[in-house]
Amino acid sequence: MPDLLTHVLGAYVLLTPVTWHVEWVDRRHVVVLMIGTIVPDLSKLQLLVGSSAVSDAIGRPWLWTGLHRLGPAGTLAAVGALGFERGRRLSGFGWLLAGILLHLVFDLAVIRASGLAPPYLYPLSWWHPPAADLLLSSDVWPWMMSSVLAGVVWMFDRRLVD
Amino acid sequence: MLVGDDTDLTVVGAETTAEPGDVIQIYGTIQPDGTVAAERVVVSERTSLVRLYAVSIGALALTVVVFFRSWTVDRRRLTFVPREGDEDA
Repeated sequence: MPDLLTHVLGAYVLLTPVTWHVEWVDRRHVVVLMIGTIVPDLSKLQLLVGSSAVSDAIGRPWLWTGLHRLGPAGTLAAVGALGFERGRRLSGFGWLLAGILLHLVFDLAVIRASGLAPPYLYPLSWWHPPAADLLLSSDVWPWMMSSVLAGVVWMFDRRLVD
Repeated sequence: MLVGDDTDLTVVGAETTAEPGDVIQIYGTIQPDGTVAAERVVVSERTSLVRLYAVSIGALALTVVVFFRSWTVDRRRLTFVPREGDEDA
């Protein structure tokens, strides 16, 4: 993964210009998309509680990494979407799922020693997509660049709203 | 895939160094003697990882704040509803 800032600002930068031209997309959808990009990185809870500790506690196999795959992350998005009021749940789920997909696409950029990204589409497929080998998650330039872009988009957005 | 907190692995053929706390990716072949003949090694330094986590936690906080500028919780029904007076309504 790139850092989370690159993910959420990337979503902001991509969808905010759409709100200028498409009437049924507004800022509320942008923020739900941003939340969606966070979902796969909930797998990083493993940094706080290791997978083996969870395994031991529940007596069943457990890997946090699973949350970084389309099926489990999408399921979590469906559960999360139930938190929206009736009539907004399907739309909420759609934007959360779009955020998850955007996250997985961004993650294809990460340098992998094997040249292949993990099977993000699980359980639909075990296919390992090729990694673009563009950046390390710990690189500084992705979030620097996305911050600058987000700043520019934010200024345009303010000017258009006023 | 090796899963476990304590797995010792000897890597040969890597032209790079790593410090304790660094995270490394190794792509290679496990040899009959149990060592790994590395074809490619990628090192992420511990200090950059700490910075990565700090930036990411900041992003998490930022997103939550931005979310609640457009949405709020209906306390009676315990659901997210659009915030009143949001000019994009």
